[in-house]
Amino acid sequence: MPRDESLWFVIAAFNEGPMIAEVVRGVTPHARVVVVDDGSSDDTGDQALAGGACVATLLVNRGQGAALQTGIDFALSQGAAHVVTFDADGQHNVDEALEMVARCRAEGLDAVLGSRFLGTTVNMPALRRIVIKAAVIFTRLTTGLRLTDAHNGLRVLSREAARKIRIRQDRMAHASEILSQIARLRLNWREHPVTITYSEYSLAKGQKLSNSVRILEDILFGARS
Amino acid sequence: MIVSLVASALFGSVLFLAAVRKFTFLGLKLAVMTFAAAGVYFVWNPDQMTRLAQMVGVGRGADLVTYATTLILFLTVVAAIMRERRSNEVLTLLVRRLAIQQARFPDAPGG
Repeated sequence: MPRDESLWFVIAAFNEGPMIAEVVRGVTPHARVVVVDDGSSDDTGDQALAGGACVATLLVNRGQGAALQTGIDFALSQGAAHVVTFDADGQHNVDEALEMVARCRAEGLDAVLGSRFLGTTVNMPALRRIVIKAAVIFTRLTTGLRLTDAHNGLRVLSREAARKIRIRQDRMAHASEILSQIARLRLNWREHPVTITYSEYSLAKGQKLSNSVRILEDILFGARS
Repeated sequence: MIVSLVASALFGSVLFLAAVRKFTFLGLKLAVMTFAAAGVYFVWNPDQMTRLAQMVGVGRGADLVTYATTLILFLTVVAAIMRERRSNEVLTLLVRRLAIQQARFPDAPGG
């Protein structure tokens, strides 16, 4: 299948030099890629460029929320019809992302959200499962969205949805923020089962439990829209 | 005596600076100047401070000073946090805009 020039994968990357080129190469045969280098101190930007991605560099580290918004803006400016947010550490599966895009198109949806609990998880630590379940309950209480997963980085947004959703939370609270905007804007969304592979690399890079305190703090006291 | 002199000098400096500096709100300028002038006055008339304290229902003048100081410090901290948040938002907008303007494209056609 030829590459879909109107499909953009947005990857926020902070010090992902060792993996990023490989992750990008997995996507470029199917879609275009923009990697937002979030002020990395390693060669993330150069590696991503070598892998075949466009690279937008945040000169100062601003966090994943700011990086994703930058990538979404860039993709929209390049005429993206659909935007996929994708993790930099190889946790996500490209084929499943493409399935989600196909579903988004076929069913005319605004957003398709990856769910690791509808799908499968490989080597998921028990503690992380508990934290994410708590986030699911929190999301249900605050937004009314009946999700099975929260804070899953794999999402597909239609151009319209990507234009409407504005991420103001610079750091990790953007995951909750996106969901609350999906609820507020009454977007037409579905969850789609995905596989999250917890490799040693992604576990070392991923969210620490202590971060959830910071996320909660951002939600309670952070920027208001 | 020395303490009174030092305190007067401090309040006096605040009064002078507030008088010279430009403020966004005239009301704030007047409030700061009134506060500093009152400071100088009460340093030399501590009994008046106690009278004022008793009027508002606080035991001693020194207690009133403590409460007022705490309140002012608190407001200052809140203002500083809000200022920092605003400048953070501006920094994010700047950095994001710059990242898009200076985006690099791969050699292979399309990217």
